[in-house]
Amino acid sequence: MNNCVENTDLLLDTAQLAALIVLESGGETSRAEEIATIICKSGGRDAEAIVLPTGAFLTVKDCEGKKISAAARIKIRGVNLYKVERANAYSRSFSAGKITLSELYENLTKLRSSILYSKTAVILASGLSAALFALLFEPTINLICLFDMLVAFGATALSQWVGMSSRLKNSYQFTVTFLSSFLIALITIATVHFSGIGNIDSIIIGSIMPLLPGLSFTNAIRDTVMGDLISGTIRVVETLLIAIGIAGGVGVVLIAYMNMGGTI
Amino acid sequence: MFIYYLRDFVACFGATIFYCIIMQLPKKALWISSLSSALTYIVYRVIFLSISSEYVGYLAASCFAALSAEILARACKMPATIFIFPAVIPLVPGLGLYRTMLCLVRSDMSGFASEGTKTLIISGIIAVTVAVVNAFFRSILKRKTVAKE
Repeated sequence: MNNCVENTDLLLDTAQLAALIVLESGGETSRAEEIATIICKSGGRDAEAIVLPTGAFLTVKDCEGKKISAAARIKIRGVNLYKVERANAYSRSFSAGKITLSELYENLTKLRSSILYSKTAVILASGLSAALFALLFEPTINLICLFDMLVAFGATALSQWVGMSSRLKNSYQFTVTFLSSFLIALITIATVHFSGIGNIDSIIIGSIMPLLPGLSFTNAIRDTVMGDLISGTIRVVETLLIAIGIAGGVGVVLIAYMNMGGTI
Repeated sequence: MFIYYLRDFVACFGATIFYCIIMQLPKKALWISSLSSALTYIVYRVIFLSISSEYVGYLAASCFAALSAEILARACKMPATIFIFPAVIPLVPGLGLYRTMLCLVRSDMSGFASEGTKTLIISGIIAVTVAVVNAFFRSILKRKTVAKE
């Protein structure tokens, strides 16, 4: 009998870990709930999961019919599609009977701290992506585009480096977004003002693309359509907050520049 | 004209590859989802330039993105989320947000209202299209598995 209770404990831990990984990595709420429930059902226990963007609650019935539950809070939310894909694949192979419960727990624990692309790669990639987006938004193609791409690369890579630095890692997302877009606008305006060439609009638009909350807005509407109304509402608010952060960070710099006599 | 389409395609393809690295997309899906993203943007440009309606352009492009994501997800046996996010990246209205903010900075309130509404409608079109297509595919799939059982 004792063995059975222990097993239920492990099952609960595993299901919660899977739900937390999906949530932290930007998966849909319904997917997190589904994965947690599938893991518990495959382990032979009745379970009910309630998942919100800020945490997960899970209740499992053990073999004596007693209910065990666990709650967990999430502070940091990002987008990490590799983890969503892996967590999904692991839980499916567990429910198909290909791996055991302890193997699943081990895999998920490893997955939670795993890194697919290093920090340097992400910083460089965001710079390059901003440069190409700047090219995409250029009204005409000429040699100045190259200059714009270079500025967008520098501004975004630097702001990402600052945003990912260890001091800011645990601070609020709004602060980081505001600071990043502030830096982007500052670098762009300074470079274009002192060099006399370049297109401010396309540099700034290209550079803020990696910060934009398009993905969390898409997720918000998907959650709402699927009936997860609370998650949907929370994600819409989150999206608005990020958008206001970006607009505020860029706007402060532009207002200051215009008051100093610059033209945009 | 052709050089602009080429620019759009190449810039969009490259930008999405690097954006996918920021989102830690699995390596297996990197190339194919960037290709579908670039094609999505071309669909938007072609429709926007031929019938000069931004909204219809966004609607068609996000339909294309969502459908191709669902098909790729079935083909590669991965969650559809992995293909939806990269495909809609070039459609995210960064330009609209910037213009809205610029109007506010210039204290042009009527411009702010019209640009802001436009940005909201565009992001609404993209998100609702993706969500509806996704929910549609999910319900079809569920019905099939129920029928099998």
